[in-house]
Amino acid sequence: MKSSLTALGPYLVQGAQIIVGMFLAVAILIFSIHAVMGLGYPYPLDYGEAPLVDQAMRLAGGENIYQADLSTPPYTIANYPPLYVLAMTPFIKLCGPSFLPGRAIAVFSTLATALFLGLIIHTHTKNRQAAWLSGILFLTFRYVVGWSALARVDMLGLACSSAALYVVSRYHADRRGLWLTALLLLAAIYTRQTYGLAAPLASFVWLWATEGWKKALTLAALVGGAGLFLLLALNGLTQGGFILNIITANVNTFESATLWRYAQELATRAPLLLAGGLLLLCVPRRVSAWPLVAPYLIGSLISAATVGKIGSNVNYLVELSAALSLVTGALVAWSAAGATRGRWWQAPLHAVLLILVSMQAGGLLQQTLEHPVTELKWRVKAEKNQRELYQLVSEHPGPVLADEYMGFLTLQDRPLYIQPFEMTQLANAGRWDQSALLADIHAGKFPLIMIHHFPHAEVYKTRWTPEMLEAIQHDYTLTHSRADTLVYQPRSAVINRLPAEGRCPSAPWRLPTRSDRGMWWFSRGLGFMATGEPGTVPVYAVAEGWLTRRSYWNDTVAIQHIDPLHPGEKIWTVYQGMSDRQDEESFISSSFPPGSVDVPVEAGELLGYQGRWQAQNIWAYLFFVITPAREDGSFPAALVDLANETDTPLPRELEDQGWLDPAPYLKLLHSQVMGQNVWLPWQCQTEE
Amino acid sequence: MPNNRQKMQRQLTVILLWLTSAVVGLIAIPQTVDLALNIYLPFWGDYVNYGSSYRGSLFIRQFLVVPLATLYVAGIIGGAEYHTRNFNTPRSWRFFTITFAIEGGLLLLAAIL
Repeated sequence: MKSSLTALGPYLVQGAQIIVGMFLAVAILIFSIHAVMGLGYPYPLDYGEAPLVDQAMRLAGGENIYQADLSTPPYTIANYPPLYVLAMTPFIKLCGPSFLPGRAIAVFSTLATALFLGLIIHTHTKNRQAAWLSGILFLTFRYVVGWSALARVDMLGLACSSAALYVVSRYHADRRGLWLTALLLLAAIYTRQTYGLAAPLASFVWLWATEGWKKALTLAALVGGAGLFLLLALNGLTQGGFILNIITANVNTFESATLWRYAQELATRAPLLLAGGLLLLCVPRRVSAWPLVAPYLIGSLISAATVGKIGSNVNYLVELSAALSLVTGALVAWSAAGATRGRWWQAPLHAVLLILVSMQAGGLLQQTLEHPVTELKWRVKAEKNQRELYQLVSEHPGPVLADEYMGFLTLQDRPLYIQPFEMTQLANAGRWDQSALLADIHAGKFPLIMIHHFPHAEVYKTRWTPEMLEAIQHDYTLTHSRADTLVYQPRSAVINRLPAEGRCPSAPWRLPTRSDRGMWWFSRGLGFMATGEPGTVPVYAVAEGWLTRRSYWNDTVAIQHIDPLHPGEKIWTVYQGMSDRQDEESFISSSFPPGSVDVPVEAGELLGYQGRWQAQNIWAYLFFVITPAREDGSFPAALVDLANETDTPLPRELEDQGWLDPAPYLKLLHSQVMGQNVWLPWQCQTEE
Repeated sequence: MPNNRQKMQRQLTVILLWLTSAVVGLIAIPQTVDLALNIYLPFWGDYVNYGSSYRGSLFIRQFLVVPLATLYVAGIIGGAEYHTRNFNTPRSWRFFTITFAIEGGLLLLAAIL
């Protein structure tokens, strides 16, 4: 057995190395395609891109980006120190506003980080394969791939801090190396303030271990002294704006549930890397890079814990990804050293370790394909809708309020009026008085307000205060819906088209419910969507009639009416979706229990409440259909189960059933393209 | 010098390994095509089974099968010749290592991604 394994060992290692190489090649392929797609996309990919380009535009114009006075517009916050914005400014000045320079900096910084991680491992271990593995493994994390193509500060800061770690590893005995390390650490900190922990700590411990405490303290004094000097200088120059923007405005509420969610994700998706980290911490004398890698891992873990702040994203985890890649590289090199000169079991063990690392890389790549790649795909596929939004913004000069797509303003060389998330957090913390903005909303100062609604998550509630949303609801009306974004315009612009007292002018019937988030025409009926929680928005009978609720209808009632447009004929209105789809709780009024037949109802009588819309999950919703009765006046039973918001094609034998356009009965806007799913604003037809 | 029995055992081992590599290689072809699609679809795939993404998937599947099959045939026939010429040498065993590593790597990638 021993002799067989000794003979097979080199072959097993070689085979495992080939397998690792294949996984890493796929990682490079996926990273490259994602980067090219991100670089080539002209519109915003993330909320945080536009403020940085806006800051670069303002810097190019010689303006201060760190405002000390937030009582007057623009209500903007520069969350980060200026280095990344400074790096982007010459390109913005030369080529005009675009996301490309910022994204290109991020992509190159990501590749530079991978390179420096590899160089660090090579410097410490002289093992090329471990170095390649460490660098490319970094590119398999979803946090890294997702963030690498965004015009955000994180990757540049990480490139600077990993360059500092490389310099301190390679040139720790050299005085110039010390200065360069300090400079790079400072650059990292002045790109993103959270890089002030892990890499400086690792450099300090490494220097202490290799060169003694004097050199370590010199580095600390250089970084700390220069950092503090710059902080005070910039704060003085901006009259207190620098600290207000990068520190005070960043202290958001902490949600431990978010931290727990990411911790669970890491534990399930990267268990081998975490186990490797734990192992590395336990073997301080066995791994030569330990005094650098172990403190870097601990520092990045502490830094990653701030992901629990409201508004934080996976960018808080890219430094931890770098640390875990370093850990893996160091452990693989340690294992490889044992395999070449160790006992009979060490080569097979090294081969097993390489296979496990390959599988771990595969798991991370799978997650990358599921999240950032797929998310980018849907963004890119929505380009047509985004172009329409862009066009809409360009047709409305003047200040526009927006969140996810505020980048349309930036692309049109228009300054941002507000960064809603940052100002909302300040308002919630009692550090910003929003009354001036509320007055402007009430006065209809903004020709457009664009609020993005992510499916299945109420992110907009962290971006807009309840008072802002209420003011928009009160004085604006929804006119467009594109790319999951609701576009509001001042109510005064369309006041004569809005339903009044539950009815459109000259309509034979009243409206069944409120639909201030617009209507979806699903070819056979109308989906009404309202602001408010499911189970709270009332649904009324459109006219007098006779109600039926079959025993198995949990969310549906149907009412037989005399057709007001064809007197003497009978028609049915169907009200479907009045339930919570999560727990099947019915929102139908208790006056109409299952099994109700021919119960007389009056026009405007309460039938129940809007249910939960499956497509958005968090919106209130009612599906409303009008269908002719059978010859004997009875209800076509098969139809209820077929009519749903996914717009299942009607079986051919039921096509003759006929679905009536609700527009003539309700006088709401009607679909121009019958049979095509289309969003319609909550507006009445204008009188010809 | 190995005696006749040992030589026969080694010949049998080589034949078995070669046959196994041929079978695994055959299995790896559709798995590799699936792997390519598993990378393609998150980038360009759609919910529907028509349109450009669907045509792209079909193109990848058809485009990949021919070169993979050619590679497979060349690898297996060439491999047989290589092992015959270099029987019981480190070069032959290394070639087996590379063959099984590539096949195993493709199967692993296809299983995980």
